Amino acid sequence: MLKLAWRNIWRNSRRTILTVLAIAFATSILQFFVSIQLKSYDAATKSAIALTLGQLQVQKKGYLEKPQIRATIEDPLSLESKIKSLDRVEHTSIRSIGFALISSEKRSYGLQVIGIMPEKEKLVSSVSGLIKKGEYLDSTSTNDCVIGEILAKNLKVDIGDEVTILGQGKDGSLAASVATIRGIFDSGTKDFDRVTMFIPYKTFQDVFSMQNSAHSIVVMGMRLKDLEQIQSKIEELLKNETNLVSLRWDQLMPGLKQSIELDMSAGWIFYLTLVLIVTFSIVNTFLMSVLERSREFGIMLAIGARTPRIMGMVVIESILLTLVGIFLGVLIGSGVITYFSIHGFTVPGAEEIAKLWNLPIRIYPELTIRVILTAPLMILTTTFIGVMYPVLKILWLKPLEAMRAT
Amino acid sequence: MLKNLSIIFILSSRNVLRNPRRSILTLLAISFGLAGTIVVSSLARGLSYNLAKDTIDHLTGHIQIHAENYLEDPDVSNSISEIPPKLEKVMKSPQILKKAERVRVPGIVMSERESYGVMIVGINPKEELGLSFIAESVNEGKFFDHDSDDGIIIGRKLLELLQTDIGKRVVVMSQDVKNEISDKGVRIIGVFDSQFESTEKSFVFLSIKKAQGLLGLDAKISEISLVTKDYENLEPTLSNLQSSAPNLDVRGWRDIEKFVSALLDIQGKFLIFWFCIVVIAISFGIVNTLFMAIYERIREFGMLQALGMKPIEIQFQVLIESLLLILIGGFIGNILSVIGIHLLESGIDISAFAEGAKRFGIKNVIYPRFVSHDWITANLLVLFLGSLSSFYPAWRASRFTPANAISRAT
Repeated sequence: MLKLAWRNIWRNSRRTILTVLAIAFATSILQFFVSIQLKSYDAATKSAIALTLGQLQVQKKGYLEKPQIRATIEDPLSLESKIKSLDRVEHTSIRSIGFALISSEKRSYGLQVIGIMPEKEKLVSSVSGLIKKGEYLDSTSTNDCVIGEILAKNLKVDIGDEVTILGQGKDGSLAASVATIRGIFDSGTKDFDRVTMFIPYKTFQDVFSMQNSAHSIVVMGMRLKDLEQIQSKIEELLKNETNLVSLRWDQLMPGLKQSIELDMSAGWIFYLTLVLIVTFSIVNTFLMSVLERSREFGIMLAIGARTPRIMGMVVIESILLTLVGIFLGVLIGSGVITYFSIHGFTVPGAEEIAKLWNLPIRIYPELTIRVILTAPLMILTTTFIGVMYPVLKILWLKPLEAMRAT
Repeated sequence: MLKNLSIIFILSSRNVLRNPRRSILTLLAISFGLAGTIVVSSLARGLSYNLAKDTIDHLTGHIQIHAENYLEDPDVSNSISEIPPKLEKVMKSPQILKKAERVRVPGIVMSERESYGVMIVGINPKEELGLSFIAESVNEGKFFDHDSDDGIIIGRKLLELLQTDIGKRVVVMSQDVKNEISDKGVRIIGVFDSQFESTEKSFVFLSIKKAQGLLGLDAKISEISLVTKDYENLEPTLSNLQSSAPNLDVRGWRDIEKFVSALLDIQGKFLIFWFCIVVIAISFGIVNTLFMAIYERIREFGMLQALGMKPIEIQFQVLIESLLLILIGGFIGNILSVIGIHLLESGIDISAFAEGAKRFGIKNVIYPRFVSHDWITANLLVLFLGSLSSFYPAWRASRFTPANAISRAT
């Protein structure tokens, strides 16, 4: 029967080729879009995780919604070392975060001051690699700070200049200090570069009267895949500390995941429209071929073939045809993606958007199983459903009438 | 050849009707394809229209005027000290519907418990009405009545973050013209809501006179926001304003909200690309149908040629046949798209993605928006690519050798 179906397909070779081309066209286009889309999400997620989020953070309950200086983790060092010793956890770091008015000689801005342990922070955050001028903090730094490029411009300061830090300590006392600009970073995310200042953890603890407490423990696992596992282990650790929570990157920044989902669903609407149109044209072809062959089917019925058998044959024909188209499409699509995965792909005029997502302007799509399979599965499913209509038509065929049909 | 055109036309239209089922299927493919693209693109346009509108409503307006370096460095020292009389005159022209002067500088708001960095905006309540969102967003307490009212209006989220309440005092701090930190205690008289949390968190409003007093600005202002008759076509007004105020920085909203503007541009490009792809997919269907129609009629084409019809006339016949299909299909498609857009008029709820939508500055409900040039592009593409793709079958039809064709069995 497979043979028969295969021969039937090639009976009208031009029609078949055109249909196959239509399917291949849709498959490869979809594949390409999906690859770009997935890669952008991947890059956006990765860069957000690398910049500040980390894969997971332990914080005081409610700190995420209301980042108050009093919402702290007590004795963070011992908790950190416990987390560090967990299976699959690779790096950890402790941060204290406060709000302060930063003044240079000419300007003042209110912003977020983050106390970090430079050696540990290097392993969980990409900021150390984004230094554009000067250098990152190290373990010997005391009264140094690292700030974003936009902030440096706004404050009209450069490497070596001094700024004053004026804020409120954990105990409500005045937190005041002077820091020398040691490094200026450019993360590409404007909002981050405008309002962020890093100072050494020790200094922060002193200035903001933190004593033995901090705001966040940042955790990086070996692989993002293991995150849920790591989280449940940390949760176990925190069982006795009911006022602490562990939050994954997508819980820390729900907007990111949701905007990915929103974008994805918008993409699906466009894909679906395309798939439906292609399906329509495939089903059209099949309907015609079934109608055209009603004479033939009539004869088949008359000589004893059963209706389900004929229906089965048509279904096999359609699947074969779709498979050939998909195969060709996957070949073309994969070729195109491979080309762009080497040479990169840019959308002209997308720089502003890339910045918001903190994406590289040039995207290198990747050929993953998901990319390869999404489009073919979509098209296969819709065609299969669509083809049911012409196939069901066969049910109504009466041998005699069908044979008389022209 | 021309005199035969009417005959060819009649032949073509009869051919279309000869196999009504096939023609109907093709028409369906064309019309659904066209309707689908128009409806989907109208949703995309609706989304971006909302985005543009919200951006403009926010505090941007259509056109903004600042001192030379203000946008780079929003500091009190970069204020507009005097509006040139020429500019004053242009701003009174009928092109400009609304105008609001503002003081806008970064600062800090402190309650007894917390302090946050915010943008302090000094406004004239009468001017903001109908220009920006603030006048209609104060849902608790009251909005300013005059440009010298006391008090501060802050966002719902900030109120929560500061752990304070309406009627209580907060301290506003900023850098004044002498580069010194000046602060002032003010009572919270109103709380505003915004669809964007970031707005509620990062903007506080004073009356313009009080803001000027706090910063020692006298009568200086930071920005002028203008609303014109048509936000999509700003060029003439913009250049008029620019030439009347050469020392000031006059910009359209697209130049200020670059992200939104880029998003809109990309969307425009994507839609055109998208139209092409869909229409190519439709064209495959058209070509397929035509081939089927032609191969059934090989004998007939042979006969026509034998009777003296020129190959070019056969080509014409096939082309007109497909053109008829495209035109009728397009017509139905347009009707379908009108129906589709009408059905979606009440909007599509995307609140499931609310957080993500906020990041883009998109509302929870998307309304379709009919954009005439998308409609024209989609139609022209169907017409153009559809006809283009029929050339091959048409050419093929004219290439049968009469003798062979007639002697074919079916």
